[in-house]
Amino acid sequence: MAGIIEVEGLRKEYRRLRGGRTLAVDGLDLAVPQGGVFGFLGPNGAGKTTTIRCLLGLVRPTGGGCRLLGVDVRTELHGVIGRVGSIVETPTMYPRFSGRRNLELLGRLDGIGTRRVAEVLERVGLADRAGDLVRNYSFGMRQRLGIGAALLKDPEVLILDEPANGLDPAGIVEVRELLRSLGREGRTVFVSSHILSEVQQTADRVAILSRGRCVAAGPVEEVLAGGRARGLIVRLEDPAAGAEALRAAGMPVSMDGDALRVGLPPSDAATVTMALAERGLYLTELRPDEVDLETVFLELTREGEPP
Amino acid sequence: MRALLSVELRRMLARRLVRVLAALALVGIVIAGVTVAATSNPDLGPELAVAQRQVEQQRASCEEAVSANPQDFPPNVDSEEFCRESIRVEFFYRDPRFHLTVLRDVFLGTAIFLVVGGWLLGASFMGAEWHSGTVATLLTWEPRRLWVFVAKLAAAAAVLFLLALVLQAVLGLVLALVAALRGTTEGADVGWLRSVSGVALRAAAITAMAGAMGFAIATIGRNTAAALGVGFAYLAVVEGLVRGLRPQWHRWLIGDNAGFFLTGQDGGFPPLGRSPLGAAAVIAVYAAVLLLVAVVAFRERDVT
Repeated sequence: MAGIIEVEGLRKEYRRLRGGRTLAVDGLDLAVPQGGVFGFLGPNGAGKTTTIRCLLGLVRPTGGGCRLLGVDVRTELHGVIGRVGSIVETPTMYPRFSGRRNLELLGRLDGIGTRRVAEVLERVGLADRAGDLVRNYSFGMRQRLGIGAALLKDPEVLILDEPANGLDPAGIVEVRELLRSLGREGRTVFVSSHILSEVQQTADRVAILSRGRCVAAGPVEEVLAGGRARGLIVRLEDPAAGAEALRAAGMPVSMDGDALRVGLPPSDAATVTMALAERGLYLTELRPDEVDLETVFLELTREGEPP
Repeated sequence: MRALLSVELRRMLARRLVRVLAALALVGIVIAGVTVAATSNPDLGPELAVAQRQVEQQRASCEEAVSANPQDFPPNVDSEEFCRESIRVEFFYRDPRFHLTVLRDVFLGTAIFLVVGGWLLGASFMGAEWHSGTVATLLTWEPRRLWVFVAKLAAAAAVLFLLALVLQAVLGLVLALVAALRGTTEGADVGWLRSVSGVALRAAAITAMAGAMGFAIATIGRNTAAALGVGFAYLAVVEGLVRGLRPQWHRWLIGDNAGFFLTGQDGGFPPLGRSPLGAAAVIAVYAAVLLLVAVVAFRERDVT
């Protein structure tokens, strides 16, 4: 396994003071390649934030381990932390300092000057409110400030836990654009999110987590296909006649409500059109049978759930 | 480490609680200065003249009594000398001037406020970080937890030590000004200055140690209130019980050692069988043990 982020057999069990244990991550394996946006998906309690906390050294794994930029997080994280920007859940800053002062103090830890702070504040859209106290910021502004803090180091790797949380629709679009542009710049952006449509539009690769385990991982298209045959959805006035015509042409067809589902890739759409036209049947709709990430996500994460 | 320390110093100095307590202390110092100036009377004339007349009358009566009843007095007593020694002007006259020489006692009296304030500020410096969750943010920039702990502790202790010194210096200057204008600086010589400076330094050191202990308990409990509760319970309950039930153990109590270290060998504190520096060492050992537990907890426990 080789990647910018490598998680191998990661296991984390929380022990509660009043007894009892909670298994948050259960033998997770994950490899995030260099560059691009990697979506990390999972329902609440699936172990996403715990995995991110393990990656950033905030939580000690019960078993297995994580490597970040080639180093073992448990022993050598400090050597690479300057190349990693991160947000964990809602980023917390000092409420009685201004946004600018918060970033300046963080930047000082890494020798980052006020010029870079101003650039970042501009990039996350907080330049006008940079002098205001953080306690007067809205939730969305705090989130933007957190993203700003993550960008401050001009990092090679960004680990972002739900960065669009609390943002308004315009803010969500801005974050999506920002993540895309960061990915295009060759940075590795590891982003956990529950807004699946956003991830689908932003990420190049995804991993889906359920009950502390990775249930699917790979390029978005592959995960979307999810092993099922790709197909075409066909609508016409007489579906039964259409099904008969397509079967006669040797195509796999099934009824899907008042439409037909043809088991051919979208590139064979012309063949379908021709076969129907030869029988004097004309289409009212022809489209690829697309599966969205939400459907795949729900299917994968429901598996194994108690009835 | 230097950058981390610099950032932590800025955070400590910018804390609202630090500023509020420092401002309250300054207001208190000004009120104390005004009160002392108002009650101090530099004009000795009228009161002293009345007192001297009273002394002369009393001495005359005394000499008459000695002459009339010599058997009631030691043999061969010189009545004039006996009465002069027995009846002094200070018995009839309270010096209305503020004497700067009481500054040492003032510092001893105000030390408790510094120590309590130091405990509170040290505890809240770490407790507030846990409460707000900023510890996690900081650790994503500097994951070496030992460094973070040491930088925070050093910043808290340094600020508390200096703050205690500055507040005492301001108090001393205000009272010196009052003494110069409306009181007296008689007796405020180099020896006195050395003694007063020693008390101020020791009070500042105890303030910093109290802050370190509060910081350690807030780290272990991840909470300011926990540290304040533990501090109150120890001083008000544990020390009281030990003094009542096992009085011979008093030499190991933090309060007794702190008081003894502060006042010195002849400061009126019950002897502990060790020197003031030994008392300081006992407190330092307690602080070191607490800090050791705190640093292990800070390094090992998850930040969730």
